[in-house]
Amino acid sequence: MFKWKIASAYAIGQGHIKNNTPCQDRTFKLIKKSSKGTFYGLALADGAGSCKYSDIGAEFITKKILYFFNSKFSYILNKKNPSVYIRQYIEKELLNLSIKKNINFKDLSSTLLVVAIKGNKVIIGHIGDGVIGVLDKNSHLKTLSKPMNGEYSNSTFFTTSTYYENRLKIIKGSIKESVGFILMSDGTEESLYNKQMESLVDANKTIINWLNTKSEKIVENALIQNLEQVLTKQTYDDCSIGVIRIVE
Amino acid sequence: MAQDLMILRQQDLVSNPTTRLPVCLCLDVSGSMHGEPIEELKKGVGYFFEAIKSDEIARYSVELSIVVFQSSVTTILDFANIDRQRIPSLTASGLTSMGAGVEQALNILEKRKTEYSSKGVDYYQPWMVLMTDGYSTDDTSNAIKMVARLGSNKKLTLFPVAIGDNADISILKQFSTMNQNAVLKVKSAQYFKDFFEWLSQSVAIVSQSVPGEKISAPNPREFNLEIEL
Repeated sequence: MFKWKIASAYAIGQGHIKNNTPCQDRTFKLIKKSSKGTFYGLALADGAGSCKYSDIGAEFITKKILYFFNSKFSYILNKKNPSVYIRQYIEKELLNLSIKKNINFKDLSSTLLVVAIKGNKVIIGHIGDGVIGVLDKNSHLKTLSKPMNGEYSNSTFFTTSTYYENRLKIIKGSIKESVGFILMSDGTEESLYNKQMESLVDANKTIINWLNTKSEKIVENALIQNLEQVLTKQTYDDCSIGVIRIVE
Repeated sequence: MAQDLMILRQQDLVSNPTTRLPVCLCLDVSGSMHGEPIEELKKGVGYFFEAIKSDEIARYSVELSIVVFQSSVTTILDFANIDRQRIPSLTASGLTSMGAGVEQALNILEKRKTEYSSKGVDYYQPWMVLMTDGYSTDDTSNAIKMVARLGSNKKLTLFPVAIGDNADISILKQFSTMNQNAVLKVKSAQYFKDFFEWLSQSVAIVSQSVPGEKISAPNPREFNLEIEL
């Protein structure tokens, strides 16, 4: 069975530094061993601009969704259309959090990008903007899930956009040729995703392949350095990135 | 790529175009604007240009066009980056073809959005500023319908601006996409600069906005503007 390595990072953008507000991007990774195989999960969320507690919402949902995918992996994989089931879980958990913390449900809004792997099966989930890419063993890089924006640049769909029922995109399948996946928020998109061509630049391959030769810790440090020194200089927005790769 | 350092270089990154904010000024240059009003309006537009140029983000984001209406309608400045534009000359004469002026402004905004989409350029919701000191001399009903449709679908922000006390507030209210169909009022030509200062600060805020962010423009009253409800 495949073994995977995971690294992720997030960094505050110039806009939030200037306004003295917190970074609203978050990432989370989860590796859980069980008798049925090891679960590998990576999630990334970008909290909604002016929503007061979207950093809390982003942090909460990246953790919750991975524990949920771990416990329900087979069920989601075998369910014909699991989007509604997953979306209802997300809404219920955010609602519970809003009640528990006595804060507005909408203030917990964020995008959500997830990659979950068990055995040779993968489940991808995506709400809102940001990009998910896949690298295959022939070194071809493909955009797996494009940003779901509204017409305007400052509009997208969030975990709490209950009016838009089709906001959660789910892709399921077998690993086959894939060796790595990359997740990024819209801030990172500015540097690593060609919007006109809807394609990921080659630097994404390099980043994914770092995990083939370096430890997760070294790659995570490199991601932090790149976010802080390079990618957040190209945008006003927060930046986050996550990579998961087969160990060869 | 600096291999050993694992640091990306500038040439490893894509250079996506800056997200654009198209802004169309739809200006009354009819005969009643002759004299001090047109001179002050020129200065106000000039101030707006300079204010946008001095903002490090708005400078690359805001794209400006100007449509003027009198007996006829003319696009005197088409959309482009503000660094490549020159402040056009304004001359006042003739009637007040406001309806035709707004329709032309809407058409060029729509055309620009199509150009952005075809080139993969992200953009913000377009803005239009409609300024007049009088009453329309043509039929405005179609233009009002077009603006209402766009406004209700959140596809346009239109700020109607009355210049002085003789502007037709009731028609301007019908064009407004602001809360409670508000109309901004510039007390006299001497206050144009204040209005354009408010406008430049407002577009600068939009040009920095990110998804989910509630846009709060500065309070117009702090810029010597009146609000007609």
